[in-house]
Formats: sequence, C-alpha cells, structure tokens
Amino acid sequence: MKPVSLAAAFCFGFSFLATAGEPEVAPQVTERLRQLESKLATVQTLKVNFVQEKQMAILEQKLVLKGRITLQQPDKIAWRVQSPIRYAMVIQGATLRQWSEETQDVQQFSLTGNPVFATAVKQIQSWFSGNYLALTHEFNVSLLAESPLAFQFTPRAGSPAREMIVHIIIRFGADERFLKSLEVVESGGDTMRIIFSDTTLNPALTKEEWNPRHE
Amino acid sequence: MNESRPSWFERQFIWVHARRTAILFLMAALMVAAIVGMGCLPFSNSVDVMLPDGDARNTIRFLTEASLADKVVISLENADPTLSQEDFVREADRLATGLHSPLLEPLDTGAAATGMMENFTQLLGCAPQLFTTRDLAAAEAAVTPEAIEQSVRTLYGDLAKPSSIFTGKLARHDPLGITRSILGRLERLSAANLYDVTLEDGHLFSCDRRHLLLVFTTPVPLTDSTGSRNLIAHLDAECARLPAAVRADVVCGHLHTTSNERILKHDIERISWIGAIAFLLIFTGVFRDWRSAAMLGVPVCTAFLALPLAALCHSNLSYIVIGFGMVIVGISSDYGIYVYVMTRRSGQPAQAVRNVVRPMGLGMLTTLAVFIAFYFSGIEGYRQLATFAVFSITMAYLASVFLLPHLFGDKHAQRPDTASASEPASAPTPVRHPRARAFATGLLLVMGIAMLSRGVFNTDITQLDGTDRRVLDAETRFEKTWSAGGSEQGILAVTGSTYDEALRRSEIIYDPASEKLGNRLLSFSILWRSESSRTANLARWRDFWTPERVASVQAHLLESGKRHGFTAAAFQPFFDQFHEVPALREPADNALFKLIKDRFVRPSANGFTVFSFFPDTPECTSLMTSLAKTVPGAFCVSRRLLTASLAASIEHTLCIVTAVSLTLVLGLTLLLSPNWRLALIALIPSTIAVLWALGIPALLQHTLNICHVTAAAVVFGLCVDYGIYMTYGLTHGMERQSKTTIILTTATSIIGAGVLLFTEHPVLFAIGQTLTVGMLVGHVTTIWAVPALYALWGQPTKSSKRPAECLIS
Repeated sequence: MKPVSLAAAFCFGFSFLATAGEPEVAPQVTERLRQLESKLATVQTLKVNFVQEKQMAILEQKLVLKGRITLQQPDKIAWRVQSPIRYAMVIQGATLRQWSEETQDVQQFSLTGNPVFATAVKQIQSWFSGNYLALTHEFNVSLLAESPLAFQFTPRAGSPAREMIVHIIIRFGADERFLKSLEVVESGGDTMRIIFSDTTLNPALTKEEWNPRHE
Repeated sequence: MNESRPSWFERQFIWVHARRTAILFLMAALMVAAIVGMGCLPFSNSVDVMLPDGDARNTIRFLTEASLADKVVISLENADPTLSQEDFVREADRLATGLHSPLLEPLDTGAAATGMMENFTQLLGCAPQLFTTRDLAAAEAAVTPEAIEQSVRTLYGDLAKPSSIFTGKLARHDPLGITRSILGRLERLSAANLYDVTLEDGHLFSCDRRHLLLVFTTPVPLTDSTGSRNLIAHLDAECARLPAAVRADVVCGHLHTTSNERILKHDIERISWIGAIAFLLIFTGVFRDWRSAAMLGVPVCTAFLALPLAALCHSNLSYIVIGFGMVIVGISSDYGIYVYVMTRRSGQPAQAVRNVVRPMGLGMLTTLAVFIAFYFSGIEGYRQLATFAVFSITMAYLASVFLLPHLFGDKHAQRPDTASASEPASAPTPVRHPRARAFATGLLLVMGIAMLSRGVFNTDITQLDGTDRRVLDAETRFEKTWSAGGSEQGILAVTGSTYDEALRRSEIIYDPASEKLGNRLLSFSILWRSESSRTANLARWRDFWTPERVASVQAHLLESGKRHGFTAAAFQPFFDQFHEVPALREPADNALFKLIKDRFVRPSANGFTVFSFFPDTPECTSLMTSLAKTVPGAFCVSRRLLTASLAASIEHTLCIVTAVSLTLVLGLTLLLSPNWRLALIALIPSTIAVLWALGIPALLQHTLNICHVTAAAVVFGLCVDYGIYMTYGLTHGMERQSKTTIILTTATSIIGAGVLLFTEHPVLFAIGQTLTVGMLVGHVTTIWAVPALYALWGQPTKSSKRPAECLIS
C-alpha cells in the first residue's frame, strides 16, 4: 500500500510547475554575474531605503511608495512600505507573513507544498540577495553597461514571467555590493522603478526586524 | 465369495494391469505435453491473488491501476558535499535527457505555468456557471455603495504590495471580488501538495536543496511483465551512469511487478533444485530399489498434469501456486510410499494394496477436505491452490493404488487373493511408560496453546509483498525526503457511465461532506459541477446581474475609483463581461482547468471516475464511507479502510476455513474410524501440530498472517493422515509398517514444505515455516504419543466391535 498511495499522492500534487531550460547567456555575462555574486556574497545583512515609482494604466497619476528593505542571508527578507500607506511583508525560510495598516492583521502563509508561491517568493529573494545566476534559467541576460554596472533580464520564451514582464533592468553602485535601482517594464505597459538609498551593509539586526508589525 | 465375484477394486485392478503399459505411456506423453505447455499457461506475479475478495482486493487493484500505473518518480540525492549545486543539477538534467524515450515521457507541467494569468482570467469568465447560492449572498453584500468604496480602498492598498504585479491585472476584471471564491477554489485545488517541493531554476528541489525530483509518465501497464522489465532495465542503465556522488531512488509500481516476479521465479527455481535433490537422495538412499523411482515419478507427473487442469478452471495461475508445487509433491508421494512399504515384502502386492486402500483413501479425503475448505476462503490464490491440490492429490492416489503395484510386484498382481495377506499381523509393541507419555502429550498441547496465545495477527498487506528490500528502502527514503508531514490521504472514487453523471454523483457526496470537513476535503466538485448545477448557477447569475444593477454598480465604482485615483477605464474589463451572453460550456482548452481536471477525473472502462481526497482519520473516513454508501458507483479507498477490511476478511477466512476443514476432517475421521476413541486419538497429533505450527512463529515474535492460518489448515489435514495410519497399524498388528510409512511420508512432506524455507518471498516462506514445524511436531506426536494413548484408551474391549471389521469391510 505504502508505495502505491505514496506515489499517487505525490503525482496528485503537481500542477503548476514551470518548465526548465538551459541558460542562454553569453559566457562573458555569466562570468560578470559570477563576479558580482561573489562580491554580493560578502553582504550577509543589509538595510536599505527605497522609493518605488509605479506608472500604472489604471491610475491617473504615478504612485510613489517609500519604505525600507531589510535582508539577512540566506533566507530572511523584510519589505516595509511606510508611505503613503503602511504595509509589511516578512519572509523567513518557508514562511511568509504580511501586515497592513488597514487590516491591522498579520497573515501568515506557508510556502511548503505550494511551488508557485514558493517560486515567486524565491524570485523576490533572488533579486535582492544577488542570486542572479539562478535567474538565468528563466531570463536571458545582457550587459547594459560596465560602469556603473547594469544588466537587463528578459524573460525567456516559455517562462511564466514572460506573460507579465517585458524586461527588468538592475543597476549597481560603484562598489557593486548592492543594487542602486531596479526597473520593471510590464507586458501591459505599466512600469515600476525602485531607487535604493542609504544602504547599510552588514548591520547588526535585531529579532524585531522580522516582526511584521515592527515600525 | 471373492473367488466367485470379484469386488469393484479387484475388477479395476485387473483392468489396469492388462493395460498398464499403455497407461504408463499415456501418462508419460501427457506429462511431456504438460511440461512443454507450461510456457503457454497464464501465470500471474501479482500479490493481490493472495488478498481476500471484496474491498481489500478492489482497493489494491484500484490504487494500482488508477493512481500509480503511469508514473515513474526519481529522487536524486547529492550525497557528496564537494559536488557543486550546478554539477548536481547538470547530472539530473543529463539523466532526464537519457531517460526520455518511448518508455518514459517527462511530465509536462509547464503548460499551465505558461500563460497562467490568461488561464486565470479565462476561468474567471466561467463565473456565471459557478455562481452558487453562497456566491450570490457574497455578491449581494459586495455591491452596496459602502462595500464598493471599501473594495476600491483595499485595491489601492494592494498596489503597495510586491504581489501587485500579479494581482493588479486580476483586479481590473473583478474589483469587487465577486469571483474571488473561484480564485479561492483554484488555490485550494492547486496548492494541495502533499509533498515538500520548491521550484528553483526550473527544477524541483527538496527544502534542503540536496534532493532533486524527476517525474515521468510511462505507457507501460503494470501488468505487462516484459514491458516492466524493459522499463526497469532502461531506468537501471541510465541511473548507473550517475556519478557516485549522486544517488537515485526510483519509485514506481513496475519495480514491484518485476521484483515480485523475479523473486518468485528465483524461489521456484531454487526450491525445485533443492527439492529434486533431496527427494532423489531420500528415495535412492532409503529404498535402494530402482522401483522407488516410480514413487517419486507419480507425484511429479500428477503435479505437472494438475497445473494445466487448474489453469483451465481459473483465468490465470499465481506463481505462488507453482511454488506450492513441491509441497504437493511431498504430500502426494505419501500414497506411493504407503503402497510400496505395504507391498514390498508381500507375495501378493495387489492384496496388500487392497488392505490399505481404505485407510489411504481416508487420509486422502481428509487432506482433500482441507484444500476443499480453501474454496470457502474468499481468496483467489487459495482457490487456485485448492484446484491444483485436488487434481494432483487425487491423481496421485489413484495412480498409487492402481498403477504402482504393477510396477512393484508385477507377477503377483493379476488377481487379488484374500487368503494370502502381506505380512502376518502382530500384537502392538508394548509401550513403556504410557502414562508419562500421555502426560507429556498433554504438556505439548498446553505449550502449544500458550505459544499461540502470544500470537499477533498482522493485517498489513506489505507482509505479503515479496518486493526486494532495496525497492522498499528506496520508497522509505523517498517518503522521508519529500513527505510534507501530512496525514495519510483517503480517496473517494465516484464512477458514472458519463462524465456528467460522475460529476453529479460526486457533488451529491461533496456538499454534505464539505459542511463537516471544510477545507480538508479536496474534490473536483469544489470547482466544477454537473450540467444541471451549472444551469442553475447560470440562471442565478442572470437574475442577479440585471441591467439596472449593472448600471448602479458601475456608477458607484467609477465614483469611488475616481476618489482613489483610478482612471475611468480601470475597471472596464469587469463591465465588459456583462455585455457577453454567458454560455454553458466547459473550458476544456484551458490548460489550468485541464491540469486540475486530469488530477481529479479519469476515464475508466465503464465511463468516468471523479476523485476526491480527504484525511484518512477515523472521523473523516467514517463520514466519507457512510456518504459513499448512499450514492451508486461511489466507494472509498484508504489505508485505514484497507486494514479494517483485511482484518475482517482474515477473520472471515479464518472462521470459514477452520470450520469447514474441521467439520470435514472430523466428520470423515469419526465416520470411518471404528470408534470415537480411536478417532480422537488419531486427531491428537494434528491438533498439537496446528498449535505448534502457529505457536512457533509467535514464539519467534513473527506476526501471523493469512498464509500462516491457511497453512495450518493444511497441517491439520496432513497430520490427521498420520494419526489414521498409526491407529490403523496399531489395530491391525501392523505397527512397524505404519511407523515406517509415517517416517517416510513425513520425510517427503517435510522436504516438500521445508524447501520453502529457502525462499525469499514472504508468502512462500510463511507457508513453508508453518508446514515444516507443524508436520515435524505432528510426526513426533504420532510416533511417540499415539501408541501410548492407544495403549491406555484405544484397546478394544470385549464388547466393542473389532476395529479391523470397521475400518476394512
């Protein structure tokens, strides 16, 4: 019985798994990403402020959000929006918690057993943690500028991201140890730009940083 | 009297004598034909023939055929910390490429992921068909001006979230969350993974990223032995190319198929050689007479002839039946030995046979009685075994009585003569310390009861599965690595002659069940309903979204949207749907819908089956089972139910087989014995043998299963023979011959059963263990205790009828 039910249950669980693909990235770009990753690997913790500008077809005006990102390798990230509304999302391992000013509730989700959700969260972590080589399975990467360093990630044919994203551009500061900006052009024409500032590398982080209600 | 009017036996005996050469040639020809034709017999390696008919067997068959049949899953482990993740993934990709063949197709799971948003949006377009009464209530609450204002404010807040890139588009189609329940349903059905996987770089990883999963489908049916062997060979060959740092655990039903078959065939080959050598040694070593070869030849010949006859009576024959063949040869050789011992010193072999034909017949009938009881066991494997045994033993008995004497003492066999008996009758040998022996016999009985009382019956069917330990270990590792720690799942299967009928029946069960089980119940009915239900939903939607209501909602939405900075066109896709006429059709071309449907709905031989899944807890399983009973074509499958069903079946089998065999054996023994005391004495060895046969495994802390029980029934039938032969010898002054016969017959029977102790398959081993222990104990008790008991209580009194007059008329 065991093997029978085991495999039946297992196969039952697959529904939204993405196709894998061989990376199609130029060797010099791969090498540059590798160098970048090794620099970013020296950053174990990070605090950075951001300004997010969203140009959306459904809004009359540009939406500007301000907030802070806190990161701790390998699997903790906190995304806090402080204005014009307050919102927080904290990812710790396989758990995602979010809080909003409006509901005042902390919602918790488990990424276990939900490959789609887990994949989306993993991608968010990858963009900010600097695991760019891992993203080459879903994106073609081109080097836009060497100094300051900039890459363009374009979703590959067949990848789930292609349906929503035209491309993503990431730019780095002079020391190449964290992002300076991230731009997303969506397939519907909407755009999003995040500009990072006041970056603190390897700060000491308290436990409270991972509390979604934390200011 | 006899001179003038030969008896029926005498007439047949003479008839056979006249045609003995032709009969021998005929038997030899038939045996050759049977051996040659063995390759054409429909043998089965499936273990389910050893399961009781009914729920348990249906459950296993269902699980095997419906769920596992076409999946092959490979878990790869990075066992070397120095192997980089990139190299590990590269090896996995290389293996996947190597495995891709007509036998294995990688599971195409990318269809829904590509175009996911489009698929979602398309499914939201089915909202009118899915608009339940609960949705109606939610919609009514969502279209008030206050609710609209709240929805728009929430939408604006959601734009601050990183997830807005996904949700923003959906919000345009449904800003008020009217169709939110559909998304909830989709989420429930799609997020219900029972195993821990994370998707990374297009690969499925375990949480620790040391394991990677490959999933394939295969067109090879589980019942296709050759195909399964080819598939496993292909898997083995490709996995063998992996570096030592990467370990592969393959999980698929075909491994069970090939492993069971390989072990059974290997066992049969091994026991055939061991048995043949042991039989030859005992026959040539003990008898030192070329004619003894006939004693071995007859049971072997009848066993070969019985196989095709049994195959004619059943659709197929289990390999386990062949494995039991050596036991049958051991049993059926008893008659030849008995005839040989009784005739070898006789000047008139035919007469000697005539004298023993009745006790031998009684022994045969008691043995057959046990096998006949197997027909009532409710287990196909035992029914096959019974047919094989009945044919084999009956033919061996007839051949021993009518044919063998002509080979042993040809010149004297023409006419039985009552005047010259085989050997002169002698008084029973005085028994030393009969009371002490009787006491010791009682002690053996009590010890047997004590040992058996420690026995524990196990209804776990894995005990009957002879699958290689390595396969089972791989499955254990797989479960440990990938299990999400969830509870076991039960499955509700609802069948219908048409897709719509299956859907309708499924929702009849789903609606009341979901009231109590809530989110713990996963069913296709959560998302999709029968045509009649969807027609009602559609009507409900039309009634709700009147033109007036649409206009009112549009006005309020525009007003609130403007307040929060939304453009006038922001929610246009939402209003566009009211200009379309909703249709009653299934989104069959929607990849997301198709994926979900494929998981929950499968075409079957008689139509369609819709599956639902629930936790296999006492509460849930009981509820689902009771609901399933109210709907035709519905049944539940779960490990809990399977265990309960097996336990009930084994209890039933135990009762029936015991009752039938006891009735037949006791009835025959009492009916054909000269008096009840002798009958009881004849039954004592078999009683003690059964207790010890089941007690010894219990003492060794082996759990008992259905194979032990049925083998114990065979022990009972065989040991009754010993008791009968012994009491017959004692009452007829042939104690020495009886002892010789019993020693030899026990030796052959124990060889037949003992060779099974060299098998790997648990079914054959359990049978061998029970038979060997039982017959040894039965033999010792017969030789050692029966004469003592006879001396104490079996001697004829003056008033009683002479035993010989009863037993041999």
